Amino acid sequence: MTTTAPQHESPPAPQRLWSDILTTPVGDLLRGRIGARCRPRPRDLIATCGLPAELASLVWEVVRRTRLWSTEKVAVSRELIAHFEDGLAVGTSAAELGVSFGDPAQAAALIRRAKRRNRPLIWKAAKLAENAVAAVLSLALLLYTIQVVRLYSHAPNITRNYVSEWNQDALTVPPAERAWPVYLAAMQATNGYWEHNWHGDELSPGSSSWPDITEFINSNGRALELYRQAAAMPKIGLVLGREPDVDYMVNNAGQPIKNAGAAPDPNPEFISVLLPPLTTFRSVSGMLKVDVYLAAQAGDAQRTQHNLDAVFGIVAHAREVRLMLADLVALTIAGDACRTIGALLRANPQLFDDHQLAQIAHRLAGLGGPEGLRTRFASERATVEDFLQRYFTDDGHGDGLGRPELLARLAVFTSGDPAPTRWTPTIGLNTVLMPAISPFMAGKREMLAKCLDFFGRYEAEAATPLWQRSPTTVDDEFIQFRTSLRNEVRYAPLMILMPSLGRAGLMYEYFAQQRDATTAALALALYHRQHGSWPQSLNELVPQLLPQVPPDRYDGQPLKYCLVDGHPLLYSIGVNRKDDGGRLPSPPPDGTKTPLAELNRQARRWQPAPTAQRGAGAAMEKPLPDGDWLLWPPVE
Amino acid sequence: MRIERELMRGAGPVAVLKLLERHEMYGYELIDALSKRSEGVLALGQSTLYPMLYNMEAKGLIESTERAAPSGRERRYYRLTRTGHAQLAQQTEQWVAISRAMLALGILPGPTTTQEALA
Repeated sequence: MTTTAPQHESPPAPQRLWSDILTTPVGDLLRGRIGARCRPRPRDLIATCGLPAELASLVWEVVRRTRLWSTEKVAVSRELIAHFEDGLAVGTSAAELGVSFGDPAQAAALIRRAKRRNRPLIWKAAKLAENAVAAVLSLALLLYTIQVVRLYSHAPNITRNYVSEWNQDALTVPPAERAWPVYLAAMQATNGYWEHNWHGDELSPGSSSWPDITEFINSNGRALELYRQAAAMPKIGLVLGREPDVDYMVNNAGQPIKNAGAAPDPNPEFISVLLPPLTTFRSVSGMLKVDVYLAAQAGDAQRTQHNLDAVFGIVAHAREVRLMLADLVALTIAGDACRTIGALLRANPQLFDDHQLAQIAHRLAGLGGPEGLRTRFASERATVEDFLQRYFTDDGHGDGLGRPELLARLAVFTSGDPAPTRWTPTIGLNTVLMPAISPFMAGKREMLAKCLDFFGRYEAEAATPLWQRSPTTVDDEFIQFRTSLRNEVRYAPLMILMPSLGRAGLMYEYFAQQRDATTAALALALYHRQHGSWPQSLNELVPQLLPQVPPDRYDGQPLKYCLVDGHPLLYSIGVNRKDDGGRLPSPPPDGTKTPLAELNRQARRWQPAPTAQRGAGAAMEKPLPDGDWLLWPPVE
Repeated sequence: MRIERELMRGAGPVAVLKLLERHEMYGYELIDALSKRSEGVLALGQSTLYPMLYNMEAKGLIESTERAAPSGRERRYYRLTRTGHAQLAQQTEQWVAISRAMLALGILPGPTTTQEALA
């Protein structure tokens, strides 16, 4: 045993200032160490124990290095002091005791470990929790780092120019054959602000606005003629993304077109392209409809027919744009044209000659070509695909993660404001956030697959006649999909970008019923002229005047027909799927005054069959309208 | 003779338990007793003994009290608990078994077979 004592640091008496600050009474109270100042402090204990300086230093060094609680340090100090005092008492020198004690650092480490094992269970539980949190945080940090690498090592790869692809057909139309410039010229020639003044039901004789409307039409003969010319042209030739802001033009008649001549973006976002014709088509068809009535009142069958032809031309032009919203506008215009024709047949049955009636029937039946006016969802699909290629990275295998720009873009969509607001996340913040969010958000491939799955099912549903549809609508599934919190995060872009398309699919079915009823009404008119009486059944119209009796879209059976007081009535059994004999639904029992046209619309509002069959018996469901959807003559 | 660390890790605690079997002892006393009664073979470093005692206390094998010795000096005395007694009995059995095996293998001097050792 060597007698050389190790050299240890001196006792810590001069270093008390910081410790004194930390152990003020208030400090102790805040740290939950009530009564801490009543207990001896280890260094005081060691300084006053009477051990030789080198042993006192050794004890302090060991105790200090343990980094234990103060009470634990006191216990260890007392034990070591007693140990050395016992050694000295049996005659061992201080130097020998110091050497035989061993390495103070190792002793401190072992003592610390052992003493901590003696701590209370609650401390051990807290420590376990702390370690677990640390482990989770470390794992999260690791995952975040991996995600940062994954996210920022790839960039979006914009391979397709959807706007350009959409414009391919339009660009092949020679400039001289494009109808759109003629529409624009007509719009500029319009004297006044049609779009903001009159809508919907006002555009029929007898409305309170009718005198003002007729005055407007009479003072815009030149513009109407241009519209008829435009509508008669075979192709609209509209180039998306390069057209002027028609809304601006409408609001600033006579002013230069706002963005005409501006350098177009070579690959604009598909979702951002302006849809100028939609406003135009609706307002122009409204003007032509008014002129239909004015011409009919004047007994001018040819002008009336020309106006109807122009409306059909607008429908064809809207379909040429191939956007879902344009398809819906086409359906609205075509449906309105059906009601206008129906009203003319009722009010001016002798206006058109037989040939004109047949022409109108053929034109109406042929709207939209072989596929009819069925709503197409290709533009919505392209919108999502284009969005994904711009705001998701491309790993070269068709997959990728959402980019920081995605959050800012989605924030703009949800706020409805195209300009960033103070609440729009900054790109810097998004750069930090996105790696943390992206593990919870579906990748590009999964996002696209989910989107295409819904589009496919919506398209299949839209292609199915109402009477063959499943009891569960795709909208039901889509709403269920949207209400899941997991999906809200995982498919956040789809939640914002992808609309419920069920109603868009229904629009065609409503129109098809209206169209079929109108062609049947035209056939009835011809039959009446030929026979001087109405047929007892629609079968009598087949095959001379109708190729076949059109179906009722709600049960697949022949469209309902009857004579009421000697006058014909065409109707569908409506959403309650019950033949009520051509009676409108009853008004609300609470006495609320409801227009007849609204009651008629309620009768057609489609629901899946099982729900409908439960009808008024289902306590929690709104009772189904107890009447039929009257198709012709129009309900006024 | 210096004992391998791993061997010491197994032998140290049972040696301490054995020393505390009959009466309580304090730290220096334990070190001294271990060194003398094992002729220095099981002499524990002082920096090793105290952590070992704290560990055994944490396991409930021993318990300690601090009180003044007859000399007036404050000391911490350690004594065996019921668990400690049971642990000692168990470990003693294991050491006996090991010793017999060592004997049988000829590692320990004495009878060369287990039968001889047990005879």
